[in-house]
Amino acid sequence: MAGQTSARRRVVVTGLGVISSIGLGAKEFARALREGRSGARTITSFDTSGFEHTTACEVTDFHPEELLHRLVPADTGRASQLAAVAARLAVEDAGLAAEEVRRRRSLIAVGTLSGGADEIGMSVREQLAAGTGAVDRGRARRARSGRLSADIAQELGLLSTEAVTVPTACAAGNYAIGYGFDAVAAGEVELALCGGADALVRNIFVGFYRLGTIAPDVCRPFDKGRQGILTGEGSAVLVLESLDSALARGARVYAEVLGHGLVCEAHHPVAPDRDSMAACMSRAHANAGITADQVDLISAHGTGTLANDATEASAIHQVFGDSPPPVTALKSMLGHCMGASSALSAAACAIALDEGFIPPTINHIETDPEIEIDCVPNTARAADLRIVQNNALAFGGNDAVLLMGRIDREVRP
Amino acid sequence: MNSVITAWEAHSPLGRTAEGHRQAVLDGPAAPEAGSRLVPGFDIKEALGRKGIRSMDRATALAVVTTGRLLERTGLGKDDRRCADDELGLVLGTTEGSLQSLTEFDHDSYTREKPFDVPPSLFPVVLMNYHAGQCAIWHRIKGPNSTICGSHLTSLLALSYACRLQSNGHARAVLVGAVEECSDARDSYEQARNEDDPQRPSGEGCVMFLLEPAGPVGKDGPGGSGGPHGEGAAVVAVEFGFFPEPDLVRPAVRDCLTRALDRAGVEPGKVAVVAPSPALGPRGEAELAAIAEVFGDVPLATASLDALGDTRAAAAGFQLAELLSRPGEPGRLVVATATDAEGRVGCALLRIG
Amino acid sequence: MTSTAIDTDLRDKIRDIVADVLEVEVEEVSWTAHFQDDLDSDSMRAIELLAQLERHFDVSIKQQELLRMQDLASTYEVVLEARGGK
Repeated sequence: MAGQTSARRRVVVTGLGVISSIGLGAKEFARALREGRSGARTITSFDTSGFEHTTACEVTDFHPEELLHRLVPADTGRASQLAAVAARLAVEDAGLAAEEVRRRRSLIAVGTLSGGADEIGMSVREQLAAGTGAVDRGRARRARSGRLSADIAQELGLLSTEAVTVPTACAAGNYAIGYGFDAVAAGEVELALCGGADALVRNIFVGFYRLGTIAPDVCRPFDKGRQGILTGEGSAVLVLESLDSALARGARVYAEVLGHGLVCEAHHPVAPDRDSMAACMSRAHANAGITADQVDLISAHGTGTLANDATEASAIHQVFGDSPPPVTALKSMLGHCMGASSALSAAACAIALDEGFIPPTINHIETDPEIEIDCVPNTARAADLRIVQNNALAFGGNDAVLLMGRIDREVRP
Repeated sequence: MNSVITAWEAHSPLGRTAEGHRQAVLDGPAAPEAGSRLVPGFDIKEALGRKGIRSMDRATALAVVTTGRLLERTGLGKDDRRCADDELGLVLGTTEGSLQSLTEFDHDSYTREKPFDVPPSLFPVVLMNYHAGQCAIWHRIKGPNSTICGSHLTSLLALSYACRLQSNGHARAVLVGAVEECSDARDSYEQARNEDDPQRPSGEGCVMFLLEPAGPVGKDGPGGSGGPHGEGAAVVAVEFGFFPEPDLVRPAVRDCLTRALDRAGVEPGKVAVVAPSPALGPRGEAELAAIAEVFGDVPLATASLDALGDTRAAAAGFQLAELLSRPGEPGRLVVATATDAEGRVGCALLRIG
Repeated sequence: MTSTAIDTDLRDKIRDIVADVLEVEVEEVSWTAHFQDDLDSDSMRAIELLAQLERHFDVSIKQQELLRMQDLASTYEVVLEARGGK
């Protein structure tokens, strides 16, 4: 199962569009990763009265009206705005002219957890205040989760595209990128714009708060004193095309996508399962045609909850043995951006491979003695990275692992 | 494409099994009463027992029941499975998960003394991947588990996704389909969205297909009942397009159909029947005009549209089910088309038998 | 176990809530039936139980108390304390 299929095209990342609480655009995001910047701040996008903890990783300084060409921001939900702007930034970063994007047969895949659900929450509040059952027309239209992918096609004026939203919760970004990889590798599309987007949504904050998993101050993955997640928002879109296509147009190549693995824990709606996580990593290795010992860095799901970090570290040991490669947790900087998380991490992995450094796990005080891993605490580290693994796990038992490699030398065994 | 639909199952306003649904399509379904098209008499506890249903929404229950029956019927039930648990994948389409559960969750948060006084067990239910995750838990499906969302194109997007899972070696057999539930919350959102446009009443139901690799159907086990005579239906092409302006629906559908036919090397005249989407109004008319432009006066399969209402994510799946229900010569080519309010168009081309 | 007399109304109400959340018959929730081992509870059901008890009795129960709430007897005590401390 999950073996490599023959005659696959090599697939590379040639553009990155990133909107995050620590920086907008690929260059600023790269700088922030190197600095170990924190996106944690007091929540402003919804009323937090009644909550004891009120910190999240919000995107501030985002002005869609300056960045969107065709979509009207007032008619577009925040998650859709984040997705469409990231796609535009990604296409520009890839040096692809609008006509070229339109000419190519493409796939748009956007992972998300909430989609347009922020509009539904705001509508419930408004309906209660007005004492009416009627939903505002604008909210109803912005609340469509399918629009996260369709609005990218709309913004770029595409005609020959397959636009799909992949709402596989906290692992959705990896799902979407894996899907883009499969479509390009098979030669079925010539371009994939794929990643994830999520706004900071009140009801998601409420849900995690109720479960007791919101950290009071900062997110400390793998730390002895970790107290949970910070919710976050953002988006990342990757431009994928075949290596031949990238070479033919002299494109800058960040990294190669090597493969991915998907499993379902089929066990419990929220509790993580070690064996399934391990199986997912092994599947991804097989799909990419590599072995565990070739992996130089793991970008962990690393949420900063007691259960996730312990289970994930244990699964890593199960696959990688006593001395796994360094394991960094970007949620320490970005918060948990839900469906956008693994897309932001994949963008970070591409940058790490391209620039040769490991982004740190910040806010780190003392590694949990139960978790024997090198989490690259607090300071970025120069590293000769060849293959990087990006983990994503989700409620519903949706696990997805993505593998990326440096392009300047032969990475396959 | 290298995938074959070897079986399907449905739980719909037309019937509580594929056979019932198929018979209703063939007989011409009875004229429905006004209002939402519900799955008659569907009760979660009755369908699934008392355990594990406390916070479950209607759509999830429909999906768990339909998926379970399809697995049982094809030798893939969890107690007697002809492949490993992790060789089996699930791709389930939805428009927005359970909107009803989500609005109730939000309602509690805004009306109770503490804003976080919400039922914790409802939290996973409000996520859009809850349906697929529950199907996996109930039926121990441990391969890829994906949720796909894209308005009325959802079922076709899910089919395309499932074919790629299979052709790229991520799963051997894949269950693919979509589910919708009727609810007050959904109706209030649909009314607000479409106040100017004609629309069908809300419809609900679940339709699931078993996708297996091409080759002799049922070679290594049971299966093989895609068409009315037990034949498989090869997925010849699934194709998509987009209309960035509302007046471009017709050319978008036409070009999408042309691309699909070209890719498959099929002459338009060889297509025996086309099942259009439930769209009404200018978009629906443009879709029909594009079908006529490409295929001439091809027979249309529309017997179930009125009785099903607007089943959104599941709509194109039910169109495929109608195509699979109709008798015809082995090897016949059939097409389903769809458009949505978000700008997508798409079609699927199947060869039955 | 508290030495004072059991408030049977309170106990029966808690029992109803436990049965509802764990999806078992009321009769199965004996005074000492272990939620996880005997009644198939898990972490999500446990926190749901806590939330439902908070709602019904209008009390606040700290999440750490989940460790204590292993059966009806211990849950009864937790609720009693939460009411007293209100």
